[in-house]
Amino acid sequence: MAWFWGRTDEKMSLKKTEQVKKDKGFKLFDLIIYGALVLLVTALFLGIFLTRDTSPLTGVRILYVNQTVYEYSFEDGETVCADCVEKREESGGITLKITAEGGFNTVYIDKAAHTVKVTESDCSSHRDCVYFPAIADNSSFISCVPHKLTIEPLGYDYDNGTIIM
Amino acid sequence: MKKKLFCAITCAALSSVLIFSACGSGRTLPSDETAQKYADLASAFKDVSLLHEDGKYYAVKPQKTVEADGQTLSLKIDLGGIGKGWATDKVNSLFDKYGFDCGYFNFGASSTACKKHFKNGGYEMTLTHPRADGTYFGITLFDDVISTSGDYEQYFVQDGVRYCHIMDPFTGKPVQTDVMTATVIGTSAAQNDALTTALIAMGAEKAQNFIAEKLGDRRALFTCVEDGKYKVKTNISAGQYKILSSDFTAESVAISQCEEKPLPAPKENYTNKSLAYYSMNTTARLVVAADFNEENTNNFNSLSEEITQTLSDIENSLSTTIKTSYVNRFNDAAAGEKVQVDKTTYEVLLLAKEMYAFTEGFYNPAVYYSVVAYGFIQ
Repeated sequence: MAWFWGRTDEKMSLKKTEQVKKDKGFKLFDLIIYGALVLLVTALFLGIFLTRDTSPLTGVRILYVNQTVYEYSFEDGETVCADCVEKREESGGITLKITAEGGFNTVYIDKAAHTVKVTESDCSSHRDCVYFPAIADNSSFISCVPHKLTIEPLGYDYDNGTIIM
Repeated sequence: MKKKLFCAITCAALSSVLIFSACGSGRTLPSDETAQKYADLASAFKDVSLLHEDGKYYAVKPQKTVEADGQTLSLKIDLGGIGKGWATDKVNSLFDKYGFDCGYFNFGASSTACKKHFKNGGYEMTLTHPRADGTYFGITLFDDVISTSGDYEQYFVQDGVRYCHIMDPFTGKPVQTDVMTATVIGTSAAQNDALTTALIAMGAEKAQNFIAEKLGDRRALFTCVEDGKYKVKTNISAGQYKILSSDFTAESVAISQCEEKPLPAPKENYTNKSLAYYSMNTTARLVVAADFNEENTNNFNSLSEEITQTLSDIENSLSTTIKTSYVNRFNDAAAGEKVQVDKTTYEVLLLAKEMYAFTEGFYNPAVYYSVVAYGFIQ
């Protein structure tokens, strides 16, 4: 039985091959479909990957209840440093201890890697802010709700047209 | 030049996922019997009486008590679930009061009121994938409110079982339904907050019928697992939304009466201003776009002050962490006691009772003891 089916498949396949040989490489309708697919893939690629602002981080701003308490540009250095910020310069970066709402957050600015991360905090038992990934580009920020702190890339745009829920 | 189109308002969701998934193991969980007692007590929420007498507002605690954990427990409530939506609705009306037609107010991953976007006309609202990185659903909205809930926001896994922060009011335990997320668009963010919680507690089959029969005036969707595959079930017309993840396929459950409106034209000379607010354990974000002449700048400052005051008032009324809040005064009262509350607590309780009845008890803010027992309120 298997042999029988095998023979039939072979005949069918030869017939199909002959048919394909007779046909043109591409029909107009095929080209339209392929063209549309290429356009769709390109649009999706542009939409999803290129529009995300993953340009290198140029600096960060630290805000306490919307007031800037520290600002640092990797090119120009520090531009704002309020009294609540205690600073320690090291070879590879800057460690900041920010005291707010009766507690502290320790922030490390890695000058070589151009990243910023909260390394320590006494904000709550959860310490959410410490678990946020380091800010490495212009697409993300870090928030510490109990201490009312936000760390955002310089020039971060909250109104770019997309809201993630 | 790359253009920014990515907005990362994900702090609350991200942090919650990280924390609860990280420290879930080793919890002492209540027995089924104790959880059922919590549920029995929660069912007395329908008996909470609300009175408005001589210009004062009162809430009367039901007589019902249960014996659990060696104690006599009386009804306690947590209105945080709809409190954020309530605040979002208030701020939404403040946009109109100060004459701003562009921008949004976002309460973490829970509720958003959006006006128009000054460049694009509408905002691209995208919903977080409940089981992977990225988003799964996108819809363009303007002059609308949207609320979403999900079992991925706060959860822990213990002995192979996933426990999320949404409680089943009939078992007193975290929901174990096939619904992962629910989203409702339109009318009122506070109502939508209650509806999304209820849809998750209902499970897919009941949620599907509920949307078809009762939510024709809003747009709604939920995600579930069916035959091992992720599904989006929605009453939104197919052309109005985009599925952004190949993990999901969409299925219509009924079509809402809400029609798609044409996008407004871009605004000339508009720029934006943004402020953060820290309330109800969440960072809220205000964005206003306008032609910031002197009048609009003054209006923006007034708007900001009024939002600060509004959020503070709501938190002082509804918070379970502020000892003197009106909700805590109610919670601390004895069974049957008449407690004076403020107007906000009265109105939110009234809404909560309406939503309890509308959802046939699937939204119930009196699951307080379960939420505490499973570690979602410290």
